[in-house]
Amino acid sequence: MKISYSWLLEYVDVKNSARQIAQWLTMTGLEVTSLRESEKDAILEIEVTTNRPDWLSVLGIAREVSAITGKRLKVPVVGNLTQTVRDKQIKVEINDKLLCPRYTARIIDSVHVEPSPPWLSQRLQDIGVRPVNNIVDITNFCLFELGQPLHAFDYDKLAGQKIIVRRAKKGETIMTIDGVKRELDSDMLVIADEKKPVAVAGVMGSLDTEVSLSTKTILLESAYFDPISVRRTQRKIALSSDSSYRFERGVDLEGVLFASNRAAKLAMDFAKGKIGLLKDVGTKVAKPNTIKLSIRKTNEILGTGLSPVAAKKILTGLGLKVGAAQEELFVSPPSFRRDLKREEDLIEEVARIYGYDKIPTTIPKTIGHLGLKEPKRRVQEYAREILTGQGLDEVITYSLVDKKDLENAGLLKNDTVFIKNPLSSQQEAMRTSLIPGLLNAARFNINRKIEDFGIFELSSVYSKAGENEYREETNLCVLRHGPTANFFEIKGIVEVLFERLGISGFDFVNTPENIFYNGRSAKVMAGALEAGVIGEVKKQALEKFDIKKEIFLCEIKFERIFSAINTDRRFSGLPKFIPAKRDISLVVEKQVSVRELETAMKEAAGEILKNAVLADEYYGQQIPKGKRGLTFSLEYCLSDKQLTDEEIEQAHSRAKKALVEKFGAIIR
Amino acid sequence: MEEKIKSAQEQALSEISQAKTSDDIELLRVKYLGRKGLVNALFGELSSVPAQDKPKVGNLLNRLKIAVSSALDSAKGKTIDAGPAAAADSIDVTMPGRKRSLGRLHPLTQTLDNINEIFLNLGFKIAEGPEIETIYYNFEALNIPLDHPSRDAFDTFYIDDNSLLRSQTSTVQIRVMEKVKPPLAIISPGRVFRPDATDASHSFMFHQVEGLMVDKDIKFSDLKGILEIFVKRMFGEDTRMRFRPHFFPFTEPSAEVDISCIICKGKGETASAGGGKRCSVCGGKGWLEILGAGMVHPNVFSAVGYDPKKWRGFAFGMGVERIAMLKYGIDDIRLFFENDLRFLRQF
Ligand SMILES: [Zn+2]
Repeated sequence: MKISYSWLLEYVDVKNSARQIAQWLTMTGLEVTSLRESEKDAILEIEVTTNRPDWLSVLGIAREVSAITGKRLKVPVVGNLTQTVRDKQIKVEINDKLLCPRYTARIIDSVHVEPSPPWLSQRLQDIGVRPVNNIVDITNFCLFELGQPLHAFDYDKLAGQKIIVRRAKKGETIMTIDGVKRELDSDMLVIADEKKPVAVAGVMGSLDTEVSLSTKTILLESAYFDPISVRRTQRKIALSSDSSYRFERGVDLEGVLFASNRAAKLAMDFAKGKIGLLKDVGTKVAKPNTIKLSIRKTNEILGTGLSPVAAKKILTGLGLKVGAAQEELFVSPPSFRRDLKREEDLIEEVARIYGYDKIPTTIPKTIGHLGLKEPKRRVQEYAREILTGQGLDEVITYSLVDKKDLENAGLLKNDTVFIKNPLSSQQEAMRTSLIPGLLNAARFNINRKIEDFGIFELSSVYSKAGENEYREETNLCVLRHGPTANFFEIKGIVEVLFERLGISGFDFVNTPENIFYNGRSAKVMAGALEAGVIGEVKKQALEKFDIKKEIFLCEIKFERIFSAINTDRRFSGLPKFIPAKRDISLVVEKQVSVRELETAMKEAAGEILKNAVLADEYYGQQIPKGKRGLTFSLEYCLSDKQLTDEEIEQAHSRAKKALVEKFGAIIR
Repeated sequence: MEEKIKSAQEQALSEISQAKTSDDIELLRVKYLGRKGLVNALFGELSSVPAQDKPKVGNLLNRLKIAVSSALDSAKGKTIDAGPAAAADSIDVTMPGRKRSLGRLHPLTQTLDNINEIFLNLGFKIAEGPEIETIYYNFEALNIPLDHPSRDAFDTFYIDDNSLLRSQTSTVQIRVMEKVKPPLAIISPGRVFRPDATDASHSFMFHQVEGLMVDKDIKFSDLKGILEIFVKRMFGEDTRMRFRPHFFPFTEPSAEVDISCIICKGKGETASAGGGKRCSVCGGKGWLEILGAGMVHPNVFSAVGYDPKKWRGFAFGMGVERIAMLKYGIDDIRLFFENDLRFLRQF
């Protein structure tokens, strides 16, 4: 909300600069978000929190300045309002007392509708409100001055000299002042004359009962409408106004008549109006509320040493009625402070005006407990370390994705979760996989000529788990692109990760997968568990993501391997003997797998063959078509005995023989 | 045999100790460790050693080899080389080092880790909860009534009539309090979602860390104390902090917490040639808002079955992106989710 410095000074006896006042307001909870100073005046833009409708007025803010400074608040005085017009009648009927506890209607006759005097236009212009005519400007002036929305009808356009406050009937419509025809329903409160609705209560009046230059008599409305009702109506018809903004936060029930009087007096003075009949229907006094405030508790909660006298002074300054200054204060908030309901509310008021900056800083006794991370979180942090240690950069992509991206990655399934109210189709689905996000990140970087990179994300994916039930699981996705990237490189990354996480018995099983090349992809198995997929992404799939380069990726269902993770370590002693190393180079049919060859060698050589690791794979002129050349490095060793050359040679020959006999290998 | 090994070792070490130049050392290396050197010759004799002594002698030979090799290496470090031989071996030290590749954590992860670390050291536990939440946990239990304007600040993505994407991680506090009896101190980091149109300072997805401490005698001054420690560790010891009254439905008294601007040090202007220039980071205010905080509202305690007369607590919350942007000087929130490696590799 905007207010001008000069307007504010009319209501409180201070001489401080606008800058000083802005600083005070900010530090008591009325954050001044901008201050524009000119030679004559200053405009303060203030953020008013939703709990303080009483601050949505110049007078309300003046009251705050008065509480801070202790300077006198100057409430405007209305003066004499004698009824001089008696021949015009109005009946007011409230059909729904819950939605409208109080309604006042006043006839003001013989008005001259014309442009406002300069001081009035200026007041409104300063705070960004467009002057219309003197009557409309007076209602707006009072709205901003006192926080009470007012509405002026053209009296002569009301049918039957009657105001009925009722719920709208099904099928009723109204053309509001902004020229839009709006459908009403029975949840909405309207102000009606004998025939039709003439205003959406608390929101906006109708176009045909609007005050115009030809208006002679006005009916001035000042009322209290139920906040929830106004809020629902305002949302339903998507029409918010300065009035509805205040009603939905709650206006001052007891201030309704005062605002009407104030406006009537201004209409007398600046529109030559003559005062007519006033009807004030409904509850006139708000339910009183007395709250007990313990000074001991206040000090305990704040960590302060305030005296009852000091607390009482603060509360009185805010316009609250306070009993004797003792350990327990009995406090009665005025009707414009309906936000004060319980002791804590008062403690906050005391703290605010006392000054948060004067409250000391202390260390809670609770400290001394042990900080703790859940094992799952620790493991995830460790996994991130292992992956960055292998040269991968971490990315974070959106949880909400385009349905098309899931479709393109072959991941759109029945259990995909959708957003009911997405901002755009790009964020309508919850990701079921991290793959689309990483492919999009890859494209972004490839398009920027970054030609060698590895990225990963360790984050949530989402799916339906049943009727209105949802599942969130952590996935890991690793993506590699670059001159040295290939299946085995990304496989190696995963192997290192699994080894470090202590996952034993993992395996890669050749299975074609939808976005991967058949024969160049695998399922990642952790024991019997399908933990993920790995492979080279098909060109056709990449084209859908607008990627023209090779991509290798792997997605692991991290949540599912969690139980297989074991980061406990035990020292197993150092080997007592240095192993003997031997190589075997062979040529074998291409379809014979390295796994088969390793197994055969181990079986034949026996337990003294500790390791048989593939050192090299080669093709070339010497290797016949359909075959491949392989070199294995073998390590012979026993933990309790130094092997003799003879033992080693014998085992090594057995291993070679097995390769020849089982697979027709040619040893080179 | 054992004697032979022993005397070989003595001889070798004494000769090495007298070597003066790196050429001397290379000659000694050939003499002892070369293919036809003394040590290899001794290994050759191993086959003639009785079988039961073989492990022991083999072991001694290994040690000899190691002793000679390390003596040669350390002697090489001490020799003073000069002259043409050394010049011929010299290298261009201005050539780039060969770097092993080491990836980086996302700046948000790094920031989050920093924040977590500070609170872990202060005795907080990390608690996490679901991102897909119910209306109850996201609003009602947090004292945010339906049909109240205070809900406007928490516009939300809905999934069905009762489920939504959480708009703050305070939901985790409720879930923890439902299960755990006080006293407790937790922080809950995580993703949150709000349907805000994306621009340089808004994102429909971002990260929060919320904290909660409950005990019998928690005070507002304790909240100030804890957050002061946090602010100083996160942004530096000379950072000042201020509490401003504010309104949150789930705390009372509530506060917004500002820190002195880390760019202009709270002055509101940055030094420039023609005098002071208005600081663009704090907009000349000298303060940056980074946290919301307050004493837990009694209604929140009642919702989780804590007796509000018996227990008191404070809660606070911060946006991780906001903190990372201030800490690293990032001016556009969208950069975090674009995953441009030229950006990610700067942290
Ligand atoms: Zn600054």
